[in-house]
Amino acid sequence: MRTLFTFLSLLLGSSVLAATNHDPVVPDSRLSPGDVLTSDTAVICVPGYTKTVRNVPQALKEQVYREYDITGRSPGEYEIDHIISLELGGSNSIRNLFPESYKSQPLNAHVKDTLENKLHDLACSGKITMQEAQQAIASNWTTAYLKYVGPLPGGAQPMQEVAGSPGQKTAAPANRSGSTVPVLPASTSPGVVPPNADGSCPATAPIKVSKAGIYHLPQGDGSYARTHAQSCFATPGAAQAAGYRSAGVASRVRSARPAPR
Amino acid sequence: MNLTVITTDGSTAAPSAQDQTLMQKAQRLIEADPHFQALKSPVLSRAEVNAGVAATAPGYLYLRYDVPGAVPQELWAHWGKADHVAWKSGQVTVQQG
Repeated sequence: MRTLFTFLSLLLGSSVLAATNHDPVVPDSRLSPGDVLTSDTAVICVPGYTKTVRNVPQALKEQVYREYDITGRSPGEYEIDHIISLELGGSNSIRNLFPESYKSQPLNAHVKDTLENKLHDLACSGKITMQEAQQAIASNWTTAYLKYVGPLPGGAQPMQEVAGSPGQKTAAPANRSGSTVPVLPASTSPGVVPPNADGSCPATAPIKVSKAGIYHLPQGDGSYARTHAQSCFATPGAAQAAGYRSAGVASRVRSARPAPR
Repeated sequence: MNLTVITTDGSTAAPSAQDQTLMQKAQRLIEADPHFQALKSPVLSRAEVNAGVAATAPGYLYLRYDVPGAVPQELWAHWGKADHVAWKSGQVTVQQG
């Protein structure tokens, strides 16, 4: 009997360790920067909205698990979650998906659900904008939890962003979008104009936004000509208001970084 | 619409001619679907190849149509035995060959 008890204790102990070890709680922004389907509160805040959005195909979920090096899992251990949740207008693009543990403690998918509900309520009651909610949850949901809900359960501290951490690819690929900012929907940002088929912008909205979420001005910007526009704006202010960064700021940030050793 | 490729290692890749064909054929199937025809002014706004997924598996080609004032429509196309649009799940099968 004692042998059986010892065996069960060891088994239980090891499974707890396995469940709490290396479980990705915060998405790797290089793999999954977040992606918005819509920011339109008139659409998102209608009861039952999430049921009108389709489910992620299983083959795509399996791809997400592979990218995060989760090669084995037990039933109910993980879900493929949306970084920007459906109820906050997140998309089903692979850019917005990551594996999230139900079992890690104290932070797990259930805790993130609480934040999602809170942000949904705040955005749909007009206390914050939907874009603010989307940016907050895409940047680091544990930090957003502290700001919008309160202290994290179990006295947990906000997680650092996962980037090639143990249990994941050590040589994680570059961000799919080339940026850690979520990919905002071109068509739902105010003032946005679709680019021409050749990647140029119309004369009425000449400012180009690149795949990396950086906007380029037609004058004084050496990258302008070779930038294949994903969307276009009439003014820099409109591009900025839609969440995009200026090429000038982006290059200054790059040059200010210390050289790699 | 630019077709982009999302690779698993972050490298850049151009869509293949087959990918372009898949997108075009999928668009035609979607646009012929009565559910799609009931939408008001849908515009294709995103087309992404998920390079880590088999071209014959659901989820390979992500397509997004924006619908002004309504829920954007997300669909996924892949190669298969026969043309078929499963509107509820968003799966579009395009006949190979």
